Amino acid sequence: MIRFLKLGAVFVVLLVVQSRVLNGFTFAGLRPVVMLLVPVAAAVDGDAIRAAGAGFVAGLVLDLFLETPVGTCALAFTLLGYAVAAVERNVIRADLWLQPAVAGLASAVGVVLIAGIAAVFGEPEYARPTVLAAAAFAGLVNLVLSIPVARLVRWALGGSSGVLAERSYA
Amino acid sequence: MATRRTTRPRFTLALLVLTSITLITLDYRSAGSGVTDRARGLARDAFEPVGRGVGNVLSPAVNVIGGVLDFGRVKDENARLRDELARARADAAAGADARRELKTALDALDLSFVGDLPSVAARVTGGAFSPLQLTVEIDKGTEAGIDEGMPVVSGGSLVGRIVQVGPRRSTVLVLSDPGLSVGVRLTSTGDLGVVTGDGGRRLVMSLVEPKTQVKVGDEVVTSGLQQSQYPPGLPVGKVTSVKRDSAGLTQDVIVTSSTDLRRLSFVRVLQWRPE
Repeated sequence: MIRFLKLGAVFVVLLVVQSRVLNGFTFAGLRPVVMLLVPVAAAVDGDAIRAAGAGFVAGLVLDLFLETPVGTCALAFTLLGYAVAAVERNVIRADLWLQPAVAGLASAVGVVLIAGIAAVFGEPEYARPTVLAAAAFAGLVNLVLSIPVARLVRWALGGSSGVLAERSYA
Repeated sequence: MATRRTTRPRFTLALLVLTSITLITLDYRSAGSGVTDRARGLARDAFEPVGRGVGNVLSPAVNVIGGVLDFGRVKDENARLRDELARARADAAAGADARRELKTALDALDLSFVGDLPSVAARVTGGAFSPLQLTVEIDKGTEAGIDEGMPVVSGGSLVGRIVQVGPRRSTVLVLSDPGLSVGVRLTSTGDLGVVTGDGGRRLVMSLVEPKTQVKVGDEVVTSGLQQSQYPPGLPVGKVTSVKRDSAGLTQDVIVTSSTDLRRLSFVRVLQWRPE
């Protein structure tokens, strides 16, 4: 129960940051999406279930504030969390210096996933060339924000949320 | 044992994926009237006071930083606005007579006049969250008579269109979004074209006849042709640059909105629907 309350508090903080700070921080009309860091931060210790679950809930919350069909971000974040956890566990074992880069790259992939899923489910206007620019911009901003958000997610989910959070804030 | 370890994550993943797809299908089928839209309305209504409270606390700091960073630009803009105000006062006097004549002509043709359209004033409560669309959220919805597709103006010029509406909140797709196209007309020549946003304040006007003599400063208004999403004669902006290619086959007309589309604070929603 406490874990859910903590996660809810993290979502509120991230939504406030998104709506009051990052929405004014646009590049060629593109906005970053800080919420994408929740499944990525939950995935850095390789627990695929936890990453997919955190991604699903974070995506569902974000869906309530977007114009894309409800479930689009939930699906994208679930797949993203699971994939990052699988890659983390089996391929890279991202070290401290590499994890912001992984977060940035995963965020960029996440934006493309959202647009792709929305397009597949009947919203083709989202599949346009600017999606790649939006993905690159979101990736760059999230690369910078990944460390504080990893700390927040670790606090909410409890236990280890990857070497990034542990080593940075031990 | 090993099989159970690998099966459980896949089962959970499949469950989450199926739930997501079910939600997408439900939302798609309900088309703006289902439980998902009610949930959206509730979530936005619940979050708005929190966001506004934090925004009020943060705004002095954000304004100071913005003021320091933007000082040069603000100074230039003030000078430009003073100049524009002087010209606008002169134009207003001349324009009042033209508007009377236009209204008389439109009445005779049984067409709507933009100035007569009922409208709802609304406050922009913040940028929306979409990373893929340029949207802002306003504090009025269906309870105030707003409906999806209605045009939105600010300072007398078009700024966007309602794309999502809840009981007390609506989302406006801003004119600068690259996915929004508006049929327009050059007031000087009557030539038609389509403007599309580039993400900033500039709008690109395409499909302009290569032989059309477009001049910097020409006014651009909505064309209001049949099945148009906007009423005719809504100001969109002014031509700020024209570039013709060497072969003379096309010309790039850049239109700048008279409203700063990145800093909207109050808007009016025109209660107008395409016929």
